[in-house]
Amino acid sequence: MRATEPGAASPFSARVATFLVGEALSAIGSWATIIAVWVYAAYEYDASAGDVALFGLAFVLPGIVLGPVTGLVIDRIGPRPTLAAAKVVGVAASLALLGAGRATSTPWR
Amino acid sequence: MAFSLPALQSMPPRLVAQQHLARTNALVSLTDELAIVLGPAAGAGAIALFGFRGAFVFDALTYALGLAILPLVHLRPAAVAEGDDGAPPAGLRAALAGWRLIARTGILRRTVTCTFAVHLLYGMALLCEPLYVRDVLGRSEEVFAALQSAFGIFLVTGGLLAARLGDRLASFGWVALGVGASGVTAIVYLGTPWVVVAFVGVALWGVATAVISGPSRTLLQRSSPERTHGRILAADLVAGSTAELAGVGLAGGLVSLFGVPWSILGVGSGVILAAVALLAGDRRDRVPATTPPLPAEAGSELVA
Repeated sequence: MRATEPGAASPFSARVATFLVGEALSAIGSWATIIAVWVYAAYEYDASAGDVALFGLAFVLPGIVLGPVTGLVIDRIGPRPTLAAAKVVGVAASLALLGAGRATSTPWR
Repeated sequence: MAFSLPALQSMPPRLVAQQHLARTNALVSLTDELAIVLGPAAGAGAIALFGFRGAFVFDALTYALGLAILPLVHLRPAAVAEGDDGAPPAGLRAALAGWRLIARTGILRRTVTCTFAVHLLYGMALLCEPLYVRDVLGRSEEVFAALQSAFGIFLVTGGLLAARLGDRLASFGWVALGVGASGVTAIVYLGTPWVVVAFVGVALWGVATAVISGPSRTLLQRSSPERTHGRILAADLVAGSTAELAGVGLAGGLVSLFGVPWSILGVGSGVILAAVALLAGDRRDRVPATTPPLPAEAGSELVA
């Protein structure tokens, strides 16, 4: 791919378009996990409505509570390193969920 | 998502040329809108094919793919605004500088208020929709799913439209119009006993939602110094998430007292009135769209 001057690309340049497709896939993966976690909790752990509602809260609350910190981190180290770190954490969290079924102690049992 | 969403949303001003900003923001929104439509299907497919763990592996792979693509992105350094010494921001006061800038800058304050109003309606809808389909329409969960799909399809359609129109939608007038349209379409959708009208309402709500998302972020970016974009967009995310939680709580109280149609009529009317008031305020104190100087506390001198 031809290099473009930083900050001067078009949204339809190969690099930016590839990046946006990658972000779309990441977002689709995240939604897939949200659905899976909700169903997983209900069927694998027989979670109650209140337990499942806790997932909803766990999903929304970090964005609210950490808001001032996330913004500062982005402005301090830049959006790209922040996004990279968030993706590393995302991979780790998804892989951790793989092990959840093997756990012998859960919040519900 | 608390970190990744505002980080992603902070990138376009430093990623593309200014004339492409509105279109790029619309495309960034479209990535999320596509996920709302395709994510549940992908999750259901992964669970059906590989069990629950299939969905988690799929998620890990898509994160890894996004990580692998990230080096392709070249951002220019953030512009240093007048009054900013260019040192990295640090400290509690610097963390809250985004909120202070929003509070004192009319266009930022109004745009974040628009975010709050729209997400308040989403939050209400989260609780109202299943009750509405069951009790008002008297229909099955299949109709509920079909209404959700209609919303998603028209959300993506609206996102494509927003990307096509680009800068032509990047004004506060359009954002306020979108907020007002959200109120009207929410009332049409959740206030009718006729299923056909409900489908029309939810489809138009999807379009209105998509039309607001990209342009409101373009306004936030263009009306604030680049070195505060992370804090401004994170604050906007906080406003939206808080409104959704408040909307769920509000709906719980109102629906138990008045039922879904009257509750949505009340809150939807409030959102329409808010849009009109915000638009009037914008017209009243319209000033040339210039980037305000960075408040001193947003820079490094705030290290306590």
